[in-house]
Amino acid sequence: MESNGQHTDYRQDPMDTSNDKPSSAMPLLSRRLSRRKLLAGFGALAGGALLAACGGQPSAPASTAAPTKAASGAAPAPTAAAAAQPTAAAAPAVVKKGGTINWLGHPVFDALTKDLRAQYQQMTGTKVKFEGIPYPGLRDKIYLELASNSASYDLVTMGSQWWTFDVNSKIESLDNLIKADQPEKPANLNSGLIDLFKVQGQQIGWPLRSGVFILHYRKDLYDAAGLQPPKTFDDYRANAQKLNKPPDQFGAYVMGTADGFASDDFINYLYSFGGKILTDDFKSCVLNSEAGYAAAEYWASLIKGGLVPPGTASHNYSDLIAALQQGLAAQAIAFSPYAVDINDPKKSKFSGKFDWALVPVDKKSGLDHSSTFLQCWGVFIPKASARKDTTWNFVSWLTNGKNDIAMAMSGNGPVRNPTFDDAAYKKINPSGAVTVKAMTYGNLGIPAAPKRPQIQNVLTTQFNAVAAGTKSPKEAIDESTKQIQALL
Amino acid sequence: MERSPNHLETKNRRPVRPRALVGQTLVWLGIAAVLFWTLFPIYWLVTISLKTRVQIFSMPPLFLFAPTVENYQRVIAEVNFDRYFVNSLIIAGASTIIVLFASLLSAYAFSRMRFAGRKLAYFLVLAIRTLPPVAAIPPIFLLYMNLSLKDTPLGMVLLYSAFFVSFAVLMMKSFFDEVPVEIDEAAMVDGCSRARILWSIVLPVVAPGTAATAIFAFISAWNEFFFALVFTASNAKTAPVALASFVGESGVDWGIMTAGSTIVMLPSLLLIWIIQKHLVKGLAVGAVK
Amino acid sequence: MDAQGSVNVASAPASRRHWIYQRLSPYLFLLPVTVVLVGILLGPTIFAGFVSFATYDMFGGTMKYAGLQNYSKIAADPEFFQSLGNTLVYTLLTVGVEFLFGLGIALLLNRELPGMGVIRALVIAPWILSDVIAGLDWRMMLQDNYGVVNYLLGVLWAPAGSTPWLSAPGWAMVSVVLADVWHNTPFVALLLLAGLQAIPQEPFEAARIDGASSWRTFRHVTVPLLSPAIFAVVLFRTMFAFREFTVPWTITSGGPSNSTELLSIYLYKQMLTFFNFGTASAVSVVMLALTILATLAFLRGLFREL
Repeated sequence: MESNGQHTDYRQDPMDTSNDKPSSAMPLLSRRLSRRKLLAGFGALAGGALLAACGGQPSAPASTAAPTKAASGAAPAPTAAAAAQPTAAAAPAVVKKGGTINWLGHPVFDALTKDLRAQYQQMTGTKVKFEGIPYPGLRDKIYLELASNSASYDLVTMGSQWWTFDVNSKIESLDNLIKADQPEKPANLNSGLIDLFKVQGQQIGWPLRSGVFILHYRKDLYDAAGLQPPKTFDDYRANAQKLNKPPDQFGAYVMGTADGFASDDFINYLYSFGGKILTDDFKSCVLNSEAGYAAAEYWASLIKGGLVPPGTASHNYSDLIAALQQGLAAQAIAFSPYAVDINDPKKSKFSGKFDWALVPVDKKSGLDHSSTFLQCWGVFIPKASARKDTTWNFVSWLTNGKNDIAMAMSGNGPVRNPTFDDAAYKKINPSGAVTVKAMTYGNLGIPAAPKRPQIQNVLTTQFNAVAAGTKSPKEAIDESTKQIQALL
Repeated sequence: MERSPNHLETKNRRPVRPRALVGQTLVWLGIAAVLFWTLFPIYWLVTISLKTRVQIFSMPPLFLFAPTVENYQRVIAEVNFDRYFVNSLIIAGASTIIVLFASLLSAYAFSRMRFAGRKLAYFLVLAIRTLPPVAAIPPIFLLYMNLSLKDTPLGMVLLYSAFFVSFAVLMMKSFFDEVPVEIDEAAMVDGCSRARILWSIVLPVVAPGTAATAIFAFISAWNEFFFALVFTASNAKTAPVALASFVGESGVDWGIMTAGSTIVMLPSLLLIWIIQKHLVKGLAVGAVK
Repeated sequence: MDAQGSVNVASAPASRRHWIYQRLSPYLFLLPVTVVLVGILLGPTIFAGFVSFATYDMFGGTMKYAGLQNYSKIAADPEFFQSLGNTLVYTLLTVGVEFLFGLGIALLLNRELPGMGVIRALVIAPWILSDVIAGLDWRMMLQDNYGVVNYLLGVLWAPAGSTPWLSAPGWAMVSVVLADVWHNTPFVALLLLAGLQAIPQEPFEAARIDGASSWRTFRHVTVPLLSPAIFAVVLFRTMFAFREFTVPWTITSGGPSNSTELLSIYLYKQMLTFFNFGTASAVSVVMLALTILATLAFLRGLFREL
């Protein structure tokens, strides 16, 4: 009756005689074969059907309506977490204790704050539940949560370098909370970091983990070769050449992957050559300045000149840290908190052999100090959170002087200046003095212009191509300028 | 077994002829090459889980080293790995059941029944699955938030069922197509209903295919990463998401991540090995048929 | 199911019920799959279709009709065409190699040898690794400076030891394809093996009696009988490879110089990095259309078969 395609034709082949009486042979056989197993499976299937019917069906009509409904802001999205705790209407002077604060952030904060969160719970009865999400995914998830007015999280962690202003309408300004519940010794907080999260005079976020690019170099190798920390980029290249002993040891290191590290790396050279990406009003792109071209040429010359390990276009922060820990690179311009990792005897072959310095400047730029990429993780309280005052109380407590030191001891980048002078911290991270200085000179990299992620994508794609050798530095600058200008 | 299902085995019983010996050797060499290709990356992953951080990045790579179980201790002590593991089991298990149930019924209908809109329905079942998952994330996110399905095992089960059922339908249909229609017809003459035919006559014949479909659905759900990352938090977090959180800020924590991966790999490996025997049983069915 | 048992009774109302049941039963059989697919996937698909003709600001919650603006935007974007080209190369290479390898492995494993159960389980092992882990594992092994692949190649032949697996455009594509082939071939092999085992033995014996060569047997007996399984595997691998995201993203993030940026990575950037929902939806509609086009040959075969 039913044609089953070509293979059925084959079965009608005269050779094939087994189909004579299939009806009697097959069921007999089938009873032998794993009948019991399939039976057990089917019992479970029936349960599954119930589940599908209950869960799947009612969602059908809602699916098309949902996006527009949420988009118009009509649905306040009641969730279990929000229902449990009505918003405190007045008198925020006494912070409501108990309950749970839900915190979404990068996994790095999990280990850093584990003990402190337990301590806070003991002190106040408020449990802080941390949810760690790595890249890629963290930013996507936070943005989806904020955009949909979700009350699932009371605290979210964003990087100063990727937080964009379009989410600010979904974030609670901290000003009133700060007024009601003052942080400890505000003067000790690094003002540069605090300002990173200020928008038009309003404090939107609060700094939690700082870092800035500094020069990490092998003191033992420098001493053996009679070298001095470089003041200019010419010195830096000269030092790198002296320490360059491929394939086991290279004079420098450059990151160049397409997922952001190419631009993160290049920005340090750009600013320290006196260049910049945008004008202060974000109206035009000024990457194609003389300094811009010079910085790009210099950056590319390190790669082409064989002063960095081959494969730059595929090297990210993870490779950089490993290269310093294994001695593959004698020095690198890298993020300051890595100092702890490369100095840790459990992870590094060269613990105690490193020293740190400010990144050099270009002689022609006329700058008296370099300016490197300053990044800071900040915490933000979503407007939809039902426990804003409690959450702020936790944040303010978490960043007090004592806790800043405690987190720094586990590898955090401090947000309070005195932490860098703490004797115990100095022991595990001797780069403190250099880091504080670099932080005051630091730059935001790509300014918080509206299309910041797109601008970063242009830069990282172009400089990834330079690292791969498929574009000249001049082409990359020209192409970047053109594309960024089109975005503004 | 009066008759050997495989002619190669019949040859084995005879005195070994040189040509057969060469054939056998080639087969074993082929198997060895395939095993090297499939297992070396896994072997490397497992050795990394037994190394210290300094050893992991050592140049040249270390093949002989004093193994450490430190990474395994850490993955058990520092992460609630058992919980994520159980979450994964529940979610993958339940979605496998739904996928199997839905695909068995519809694949049987597509394979055996004539009805209006059959072609269109089959096309839609396959075509709807071509929506790129990334594109589905924002609307599903809003939908799930409004239905409070976010971060619930039920939400993940429904999501995985929807994303993996199309392929299961196609697979099961091809297995049903292999079974001669005459079997159904004979049973219908005997007065069996469609459901009964599927349940007690056709299904046992396609047991190996069903097992393969189940493996497919289970492992796809067990390993799914991106949806789980976006749609789960502490309640329904799955093992792959927990593993990925070892991609820390100062580099990938290779030791702890590979140790976790090794643990996550074990149940799937065990499952495959068990169901493998099932598939071999299926071979006998094919042979007698 | 009890009601259906009563069909046997040959009374007049029962035969009417029987008739209704006959007409309705296909749809009842399709109900579960419809519920699951419509409940979860139909909404997002329609949503993507709508938003591709609009600009949607997720933070302001406003949607504005934009005509074909999103489509003209991607039509003017060279990055879109580059990623389209990459995706085609990637799909052809991975599906082709995976099919050939998978068929070879399935044929190799389709015999009774001591320990075959364990061997099969071990061959399938790469597929049970999560995408992310598979990607990270290969990134680690192919790393230019301390990766084990370059080390082993260097031992065999020194110049091969400095292969720029991840940092030169052509090689990077080879690397992501390699990792994908490693990860997914077992799946292809598993399905083809299941297909092979469902084939009756008689045709083979007949061919043997006729004295057909192994190649002729393979070509004229195995392949036709295996065709439903081959069809299923190639169709679905094509669909999956066309939208593959995790493995290439973990290994190269689309670099160097966009040489491994697939459409899914381009889509990901538009959707979740730039939050350009309109543009991203247009990309997904194009991807949807292209997937259906790419599988059209298969779909036509499928309709002929129905």
